[in-house]
Amino acid sequence: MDGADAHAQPQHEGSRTHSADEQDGPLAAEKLEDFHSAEWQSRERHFLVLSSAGKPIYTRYGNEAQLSTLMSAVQAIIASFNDMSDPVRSMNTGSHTIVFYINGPLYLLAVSSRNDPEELLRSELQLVHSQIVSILTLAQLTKIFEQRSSFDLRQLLGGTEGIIDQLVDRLDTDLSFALGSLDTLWMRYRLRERIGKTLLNHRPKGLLYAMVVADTKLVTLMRPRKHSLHPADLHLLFNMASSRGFLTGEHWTPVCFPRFNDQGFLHVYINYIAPSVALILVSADRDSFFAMTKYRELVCQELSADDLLQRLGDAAAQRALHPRELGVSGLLQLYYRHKTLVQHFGTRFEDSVDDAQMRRIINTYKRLRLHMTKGGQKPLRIIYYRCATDMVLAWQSSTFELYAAVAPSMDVKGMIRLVNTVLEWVKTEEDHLFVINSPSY
Amino acid sequence: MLHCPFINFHVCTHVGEAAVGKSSLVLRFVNDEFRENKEPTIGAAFLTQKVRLDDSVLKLDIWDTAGQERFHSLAPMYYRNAQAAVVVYDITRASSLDRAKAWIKELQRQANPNIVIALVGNKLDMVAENDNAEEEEVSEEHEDNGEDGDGKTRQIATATARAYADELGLLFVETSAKSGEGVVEVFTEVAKKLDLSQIASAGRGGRPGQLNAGNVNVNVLGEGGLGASDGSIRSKTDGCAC
Repeated sequence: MDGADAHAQPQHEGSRTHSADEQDGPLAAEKLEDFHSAEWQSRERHFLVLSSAGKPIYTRYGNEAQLSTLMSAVQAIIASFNDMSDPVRSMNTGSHTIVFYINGPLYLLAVSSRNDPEELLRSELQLVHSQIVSILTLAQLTKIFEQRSSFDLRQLLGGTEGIIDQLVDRLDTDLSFALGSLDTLWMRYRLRERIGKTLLNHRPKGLLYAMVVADTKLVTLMRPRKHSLHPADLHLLFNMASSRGFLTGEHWTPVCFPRFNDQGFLHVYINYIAPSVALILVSADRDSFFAMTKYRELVCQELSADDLLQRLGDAAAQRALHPRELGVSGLLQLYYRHKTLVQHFGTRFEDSVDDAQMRRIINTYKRLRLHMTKGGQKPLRIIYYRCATDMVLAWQSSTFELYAAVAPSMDVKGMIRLVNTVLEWVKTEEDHLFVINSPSY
Repeated sequence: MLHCPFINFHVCTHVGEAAVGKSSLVLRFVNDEFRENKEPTIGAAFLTQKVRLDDSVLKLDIWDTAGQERFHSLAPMYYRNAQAAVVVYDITRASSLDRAKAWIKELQRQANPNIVIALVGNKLDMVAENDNAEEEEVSEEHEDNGEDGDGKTRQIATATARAYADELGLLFVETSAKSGEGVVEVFTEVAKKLDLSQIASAGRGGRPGQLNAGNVNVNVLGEGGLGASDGSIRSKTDGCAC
């Protein structure tokens, strides 16, 4: 294969780029919002990060530099409680819940106007913190602020705001983070197996993990027999790799995996081998880029020869399953989590569901899960939730967790019937839904 | 099919500050496309593109490195074995030339002594209309004015940068990644200046006398980046279309 072609941009790039470009407008506008403005104040959720010296580091909306007065005020509040040796954890203003998460030199703050539970917001702040650690390592973060408590961390985080923005947005539309398991792509069992074998066939020395990821959904993952990466680390990695900057060319960058080792970097290779399909390789050796690029070439050669790359691309193009593909009607969306495999799949939303309802449903799932998993000695097994607009069921057994939203017109009996049909379907499709045998060496 | 050897040139396009348009420059060169508000590079990106010279086709291996400070310590990895470096600054931001100069110093001290360095002033499109009038009197005083997108003015005169480049024997081109102006020229000029015979005799996969194609590793470095170490020398012996 000619080298230039091997690295050439895939054909689909043009159209992707175009549609992505259209999104620049609103995103750029969000960053220009002034915090006195109505838009800024009407945001349902704000995520802010500042240093213990009160220096602004990050805000989802608006420009953090213009929020310095606000950041100083937050710092003063936190500091005054610290003096009483009883750190502030949350505040409720009636209309807003404010949750603080303090980790070393970083203060993180979430503000929600929709009554999100405190635990939920705190766990989301912890993820934002982990994403920052994944960029810098905790060692570097700690050292910098030890040397200069007034350090402006934006100098070091520069260029990664987009990754944190993406994470914050996903928290609101994707249950994966809350489930703590890996989202998998539905595909034929044999196809997945053959891709896994191909990854294993060409493994060079120094390659620790190799994974194929379609739009943050796992296709397969090759790993050492005795180690596996924590799903939370992979969520952060997949979130990063889905950033548009990686779509063109081969990429090589240090990444810290906080749950694996928050003190150091591993080195990550990212290349899109088919439309929205990324090959992600993890190595401990920062000089191994060319071994990785050679490996990619071999893997792609083998996959193309058997037409697997095309079929993988087709599977990825479908993205998530449509609710109707589960053989039921009236289902709006569903997540099924396999407890032993620590994997889950989620369908997309029925076309009739608008953005606001989508967020509301995901938010309901999160709350119901909180009830089920933190429910004390006798946790609830099944919760049926109904309001004027939504009807949601959460159910956990010893082997699975299930979250389903159905048309509000459906009655309870209908809903139970629907869920039972889905469970039957999952049983027959299990091999294709999940990564059953991940290749290991 | 003609069987031709590729010779690696590790051209290190090494760009000064963050957000001067390094990746946009490379993207224009490699894919002939441009994206407004392109997201910053994380780590480094590796891309390849061919350039056509009078009697040969060279394949350039390009490292496009991130401009952010946290990647600075990785930069030597990318320029260590580079045959060329493209150092980019933003003509509407005076501070970016200072940063570029610092990079050039570092390259001259630490990189391959024969490295070909090109100094590139990007974002020509932003000053296209009012350029001629203002060029004479730009000063480096309004360092911080170049922040917002609209109404940018040139802060670095062509003559100033050219004089600096001439003095140090660097290639010098002003470009617009947006319009494409000057972009191919940068890489063609770099390729022309590379000492092909030296690269061929260095035994990197090329057979003397068949020098009709070659690989050039170009590093586009920002304020940091990854280095191609020995591993960067990739011999391509398969057939190519040239």
